[in-house]
Amino acid sequence: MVKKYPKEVEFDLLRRVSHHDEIAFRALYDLTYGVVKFYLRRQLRDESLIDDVLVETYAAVWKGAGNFKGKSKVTTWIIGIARNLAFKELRKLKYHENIDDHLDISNGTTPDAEPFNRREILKKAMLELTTKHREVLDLVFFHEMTYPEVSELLGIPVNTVKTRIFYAKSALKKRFEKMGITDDDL
Amino acid sequence: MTYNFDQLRDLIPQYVNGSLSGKERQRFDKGIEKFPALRQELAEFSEIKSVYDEMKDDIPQPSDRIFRSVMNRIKADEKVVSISGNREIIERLRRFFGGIFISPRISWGVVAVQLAVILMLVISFPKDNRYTTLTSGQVHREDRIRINIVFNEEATEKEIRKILNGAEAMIVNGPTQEGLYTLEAKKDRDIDQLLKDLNKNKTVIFIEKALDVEKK
Repeated sequence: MVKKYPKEVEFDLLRRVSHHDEIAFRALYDLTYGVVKFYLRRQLRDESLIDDVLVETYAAVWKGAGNFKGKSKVTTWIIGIARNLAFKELRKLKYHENIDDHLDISNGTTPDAEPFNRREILKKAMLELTTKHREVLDLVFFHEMTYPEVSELLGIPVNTVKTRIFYAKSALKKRFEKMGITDDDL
Repeated sequence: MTYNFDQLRDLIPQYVNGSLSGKERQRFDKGIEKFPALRQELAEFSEIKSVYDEMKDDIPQPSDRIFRSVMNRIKADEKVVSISGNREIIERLRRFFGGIFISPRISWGVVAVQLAVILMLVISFPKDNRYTTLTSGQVHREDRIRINIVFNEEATEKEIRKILNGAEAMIVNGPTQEGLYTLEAKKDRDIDQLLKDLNKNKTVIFIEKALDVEKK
């Protein structure tokens, strides 16, 4: 499970990291590694690429700790760094999908409905969402960020965040309807 | 204060994440009773949330291997920064001196300083107009006396040098076809005595004071 800890703990560690305290850096790494890697796994499929981006991310945290303005949670800031580096890698590899062209998740694949497990189907359907819709769902429901925090991280207006959330939900709903599963099956 | 449907809908993520304050939660609960569509939305989001909650059990543990790579990367970067720092200093110096020689103002300044040094040397050094020779020591050119002299044909260089040193004189001209040399000696010497002394020397076969035709 994700451990809950006061954000002051993160701030204090990062402040110490800005003075090149290696013990604090290790503690911050231990505290944030799981969620940062989880975020990257949802964006990148290649494990070795994920590891490379993690190394780059934490090296950037070490170097840039003094630049943290405190406008967001430290974890959000680190995820932001990881996101930028991941997208940079994706652009290099030229396999980053053009998410704007994929608002409809229907791509012809049908989730395995046997044995019927609504939650498993939902998991698979979420993986079939476009990157930008899956990303906002991840940030809101897994990383438990507020809309303004997501807006800040992604550099998009709050209303766009809301729109993406509701598009993502609609897309999942459509997926279920296509399979003939309704809310009554809940 | 009560929320409308849209406002309540925006609060759904925070509601399912359990991050609403007590009062906000109460208002939201009331909204659920008031708006059936909100209840439907909440159910859908709650289902999504439950999937994410399951995923939280699979959060990866911190990796020592990755941390070592991070630290190696940091150390490598710091080395590069250190080297590039040195290069930067050299580059700055190069630009500084380059700037000096490129700047016309500074170049003219250097020329002015050089000129000042030259003038200072010219003014301060040759005040007494002296020069040094091997034979006669310091002789004032303006206080000299000229002597014509002919040495014995058998005279050695050693003997001639001895005469010149003794007279504190130096050869300034000669020899002519007849073997005549012209010496310069200090004027403050007793010229007659000097001529007498030199005349006694066997090496000297002719000596006389030269006519002073040179303009002082």
